Amino acid sequence: MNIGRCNMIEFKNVTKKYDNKVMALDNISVRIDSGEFVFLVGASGAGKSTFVKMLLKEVEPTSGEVIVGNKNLKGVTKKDVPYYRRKIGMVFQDYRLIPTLNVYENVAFAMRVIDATPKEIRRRVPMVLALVGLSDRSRSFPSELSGGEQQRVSLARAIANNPTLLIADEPTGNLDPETAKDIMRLLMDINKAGTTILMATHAKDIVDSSKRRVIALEKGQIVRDEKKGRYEFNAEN
Amino acid sequence: MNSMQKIKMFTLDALKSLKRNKTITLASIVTVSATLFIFGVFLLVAQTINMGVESVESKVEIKAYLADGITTTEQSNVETIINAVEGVKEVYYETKEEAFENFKERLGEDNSILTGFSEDRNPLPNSFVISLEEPEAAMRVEDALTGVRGVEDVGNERETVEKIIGLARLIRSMGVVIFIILVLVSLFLISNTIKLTVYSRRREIGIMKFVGATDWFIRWPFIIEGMIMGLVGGIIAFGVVYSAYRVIYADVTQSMFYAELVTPQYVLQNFSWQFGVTGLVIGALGSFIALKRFLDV
Repeated sequence: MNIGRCNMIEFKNVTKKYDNKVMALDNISVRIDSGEFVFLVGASGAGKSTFVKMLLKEVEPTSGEVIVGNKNLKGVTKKDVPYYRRKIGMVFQDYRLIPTLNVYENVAFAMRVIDATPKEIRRRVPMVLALVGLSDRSRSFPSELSGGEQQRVSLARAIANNPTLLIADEPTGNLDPETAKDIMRLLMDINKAGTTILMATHAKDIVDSSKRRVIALEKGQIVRDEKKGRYEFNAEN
Repeated sequence: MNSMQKIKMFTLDALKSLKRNKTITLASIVTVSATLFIFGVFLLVAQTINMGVESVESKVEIKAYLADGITTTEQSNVETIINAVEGVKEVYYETKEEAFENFKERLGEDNSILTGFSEDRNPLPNSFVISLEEPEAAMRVEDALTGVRGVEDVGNERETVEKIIGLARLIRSMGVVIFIILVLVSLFLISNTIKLTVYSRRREIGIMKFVGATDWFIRWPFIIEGMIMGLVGGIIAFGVVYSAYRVIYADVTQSMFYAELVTPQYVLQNFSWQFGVTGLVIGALGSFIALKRFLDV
């Protein structure tokens, strides 16, 4: 993927209507620049997941166009999807680590899957583990780690392949406030290094204290898009 | 990574997974060997029936009866015509005397009906006895000899021959149908068993998908796993079928003078690799089918 200086993500009049007639996204147009850190907020069912799934090409828009890093996703064939996804790092609320592999292996696994050479893997894995502060836990298994540590492993895995875009889906959802702050600091560091970050979240405190761009979705529409936004949301308690 | 490294990695992954899911591995192997065992028994029965049919088919003979006043030229002409027909194995000239003797012999104790006839007063004509490679050739010989000078009649037991042909065809096509059903059943069973392994690893598959693994990258270890299970199942099934058949063969050939049976040697030479290949293919295909739903994300 050839990344221009400007657009990382662009939605052009994107609508998604599921088979059950639910309007998940309703004529959305938005642009996210390369290097930005963006919060995607909204109540459950507002369309956040559809937004994220569209970026991964798990869901096709009913109408409109999604462009990621100069690539119109319409042109990405089913066969190309795996290669396209390699440029996107994903972090989930539930970490999604493989329980039978240790920390090192979990990160190496993501590299192996995309055909990295053993040499590259040996060089890169310790590097990203050091970056997330887990060098000393590389032989531990996920079950032996705290939630925060597991999320750091999943962050390490997400950046192992040098993604240009990192999508974090509720990365702090299962963490206590202190640990959540650690993860946020890491995300900010990763962002400073040049990776565009899109974070879907419900964490009001984090959004409010971060002073980053906030895109708020409600019933499939963008109701707010502010440069240094706050979480405040009518339907949310 | 080059392809050798990849094959090694996939195989190691497959072996690891086989070890990790011992119960499922065992269940799959038992499934493969059980279906292949049934398959083997069926194959043996089919093979035996086929041999029987073939031996009946090879015994089909027809006779071309020659006119009494036939000249030597005409006779050799008839012989040439018969030999030119496709599917004729052998042509034998039977004199009327020989025919009389053979007939008498065949009648055995009932030969009293021949009283009044003797070699001098012989009602039977000279003939060509034609043995055939396949019963279908009988019709062709008959057609070729129609209207040829010196040929009185062609003794073709048309109805019998047609029955034999029909039966042979029926048995063979039934064999094919049963074969296909057995393959489908074993595929279904094996893919369902392998689905359990896949299911237990669905998280891993999901992770592979979102970090950008291609479908084939995900598939290979499972397919190799399926092939290993299929091969082992095939070997076990072959071992059971072969050793059981050796005992049965020895028993049958001892108690019966005449039994047209597939030899254990034949079973060893043919079934061994057939079972192996079938096991491999069923295992690979079973894995492929089992994964289908999990890869559609």
